[in-house]
Amino acid sequence: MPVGITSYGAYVPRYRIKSEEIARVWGDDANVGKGLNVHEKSVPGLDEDVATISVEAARQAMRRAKTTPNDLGAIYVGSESHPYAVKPTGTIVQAALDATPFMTMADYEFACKAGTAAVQTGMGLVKSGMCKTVLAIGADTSQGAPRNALEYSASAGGAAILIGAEKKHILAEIQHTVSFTTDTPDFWRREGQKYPSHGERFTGEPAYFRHVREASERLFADTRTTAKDYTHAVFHQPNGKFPATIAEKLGFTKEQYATGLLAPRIGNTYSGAVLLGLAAILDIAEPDDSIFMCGYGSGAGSDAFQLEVTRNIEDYDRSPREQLATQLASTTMLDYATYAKHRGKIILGGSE
Amino acid sequence: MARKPHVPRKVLPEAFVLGASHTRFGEAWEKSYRDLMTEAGLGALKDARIAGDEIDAVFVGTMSTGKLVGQEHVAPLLLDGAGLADRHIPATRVEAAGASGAVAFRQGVNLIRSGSADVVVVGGIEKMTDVSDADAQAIASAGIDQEWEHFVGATETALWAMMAKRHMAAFGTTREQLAAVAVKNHAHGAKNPLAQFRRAIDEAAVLRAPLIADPLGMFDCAPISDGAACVVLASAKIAAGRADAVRVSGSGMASDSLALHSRPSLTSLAATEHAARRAYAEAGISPADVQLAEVHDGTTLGELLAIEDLGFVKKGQGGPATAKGRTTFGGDLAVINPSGGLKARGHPAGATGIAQVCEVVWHLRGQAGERQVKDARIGITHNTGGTGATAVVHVLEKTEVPE
Amino acid sequence: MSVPRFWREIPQRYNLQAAKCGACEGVYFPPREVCPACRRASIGKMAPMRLSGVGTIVEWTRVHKPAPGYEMQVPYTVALIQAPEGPLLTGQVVDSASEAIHVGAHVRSVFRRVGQDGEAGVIHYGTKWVVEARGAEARSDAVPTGKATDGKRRKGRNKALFQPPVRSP
Repeated sequence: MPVGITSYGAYVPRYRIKSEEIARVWGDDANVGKGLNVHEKSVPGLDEDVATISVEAARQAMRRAKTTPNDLGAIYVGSESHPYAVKPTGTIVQAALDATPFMTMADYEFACKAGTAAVQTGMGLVKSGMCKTVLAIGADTSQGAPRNALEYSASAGGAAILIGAEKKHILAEIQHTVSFTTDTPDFWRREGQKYPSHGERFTGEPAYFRHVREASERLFADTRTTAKDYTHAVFHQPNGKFPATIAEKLGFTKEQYATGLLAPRIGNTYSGAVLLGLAAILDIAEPDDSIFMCGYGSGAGSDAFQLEVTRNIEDYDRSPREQLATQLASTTMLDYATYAKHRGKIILGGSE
Repeated sequence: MARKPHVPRKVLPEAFVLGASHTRFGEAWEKSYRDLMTEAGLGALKDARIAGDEIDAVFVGTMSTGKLVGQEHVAPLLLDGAGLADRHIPATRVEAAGASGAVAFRQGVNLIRSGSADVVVVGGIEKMTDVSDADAQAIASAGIDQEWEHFVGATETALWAMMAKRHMAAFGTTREQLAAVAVKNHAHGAKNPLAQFRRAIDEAAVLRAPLIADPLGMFDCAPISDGAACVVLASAKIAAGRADAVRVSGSGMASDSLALHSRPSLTSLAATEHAARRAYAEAGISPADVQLAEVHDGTTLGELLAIEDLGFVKKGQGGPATAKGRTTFGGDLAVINPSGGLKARGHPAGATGIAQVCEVVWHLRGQAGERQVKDARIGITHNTGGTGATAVVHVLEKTEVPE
Repeated sequence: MSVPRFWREIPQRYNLQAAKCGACEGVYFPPREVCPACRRASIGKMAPMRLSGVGTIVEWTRVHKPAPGYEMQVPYTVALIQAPEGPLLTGQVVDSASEAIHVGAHVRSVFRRVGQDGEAGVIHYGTKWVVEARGAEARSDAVPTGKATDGKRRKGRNKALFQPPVRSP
């Protein structure tokens, strides 16, 4: 039985801040953004959080789907910045979709790969016949402490992926997935802490690169494919540099990974990152295109996927108003002070 | 079968105002809620030459004592403050947001008209400066729809602001005409020793004031105030022979949807129109018979709507009429808000409706000093709650009560 | 706002659930138990329906003295929004350039945080509005469900009471 993506939605808040603006405030080298290949990053509105981003992405997915919210058997929202420490984000999405209450649900957290973990869970539930359709969401409004290197990249956005098994609805069949997981503390946020901490250079080779490489190479081996067999490739993108580096090491060309590489323009949307990249690819993909996707979450693990686009994509609403590119073209640039206000870094006095 | 709404005939027994008093409005840092009410109450009883033992009933209009001073059940408390607890007088609190005072007054009038009482004391009070400005603003907006207006970001001023913009679009009302209301009311308030603001301002001051909700700025809006007001109402039997008695010749009250978005018109207050029609019918008068009117200028737009909906000018003509000086001393229309209105006298919510009655009474008696409206025989009061879901109009007349 | 007070209105706040009178087809938001046009004839005939989530700005203002909980957003825009189904709604317009906000502008609903019970309390979500980009087709966020929805324009008393602006003399 095939399993695949039957619809998808993407949402990135319209606000942006430029790396140069952050560098200006902290006296950093103005070229720091160039080094990271993150020129600007998305910033949530004052009234946006993971629940609102998830709902916007999920509503777009449902609007374009051939199935209804009453067909959902589960919702999994993956995020490291759920609005509540205790109380699911998924129920808010469910209510906002007016979906059936007869479904199972849990929120996921695995740093930046909670979204792909949700996709894998959905595949399992659908393939086993337990659920007809599963909504998997990866979304974040991640925070970097002021003046921390993370502040240049930690951004906001999310994507919703509808997973089903009905052949006539599948836009992209998920042909294979493999994961590589170890106990590698490269990035974490302790309970009650506002901002995450990270192992600086340790986040590179032993963390991101090793896990993405291991998962990717295992996927190649399992599917007897190489980089050359794929039309598109998308990787988790903590910045614009890491995914390009690993892609090229694995044998992908810039042409293959350019479409899904959004970090230079929107930063690192954490759980949303690889799925937003996938959405950008699906927006322009053609039947029979093959897609390689590999997520990464600190802590650490990688989920790799092999997908193949079907003919159904031709009947799917990908008009400009539904495309991620259209959303990303409409932005409002913030200065650092306004950005600080948006991110709750300005504390109002007691008299307010 | 549909029945025609009841329009009360002129009924006997009639109600008369025998005494009127209010505290100075403003920031009464040293006075508590209880102090203010006692001061106004004793003043009104003294003015009426009525003793505590003669009181048959008490009504108190107050909007939000629970949130502003943490006290509910205030009617007996206020009687106690005046030393009258041991008289065991029935005491009732009345609430209708900014119209609480006028609705309380109407309860008193109706009780006397029913023949159930000869002397009724009606107070109005609000103590708003015991909480922060932000809290006072929020509490003042409690009279709009909390679920579907306030909760989604609208304040009461924001709703008035949208009505102002609609009025401007529909009738060509200008920003300067709105400002003219504030300028006039400040000029009036400058002559009122009990007003919160006793200084004239010019148009430029109104226009450059910080915005509250575009286009309304700080000088377009009534302030946050402390104050209490009290009147003594009496039957003809008690008022007989009193040269200073003022007859309540018309009382009208009407309601409307609480939420502005549920109303058919954004440029008039139907509740005001209906309340006025009923009050005028009872009194047998028309707006042309009126020499002065105390109207609810919670915002400058509020006064323009009021003078239109009360019939002093045609719909849409409130702005030009005000800007041309027709509603001030020496104008050809009734003097509107000789006290300074809510804008300059101040707006301690529950006290306003009673203070309006006090002002009209003083003019009809010829006791209004520097701001006396000449030859005042008939005056009206107009008090609204929220954005106009409650409106109350009273007609007061100079009278001779037969012995 | 207390938890139950918010919770019982989730369908209205999240999904603009309105009520439609089975007698006159009048649509009301927030939903009503009784149709003001049909009154007794409507009792038991008020059916839930969802507004399409698009509308037109009838009037708006920029708020500088905020409602509680809106302190961080000042100045922010509040508007009266005419839904094509009939009701007029009060709501906040966000994410829209000030020059795009004008009477007659087309708006669509978005899902946003509307407030919270302090830092430790529940978060209140609900509907806000954004101005549609110029030339963009009107788009509804309504998701098909099994429930009765109806895009027909309402007849009844309040239909199109608020015509887009005409400057009269």
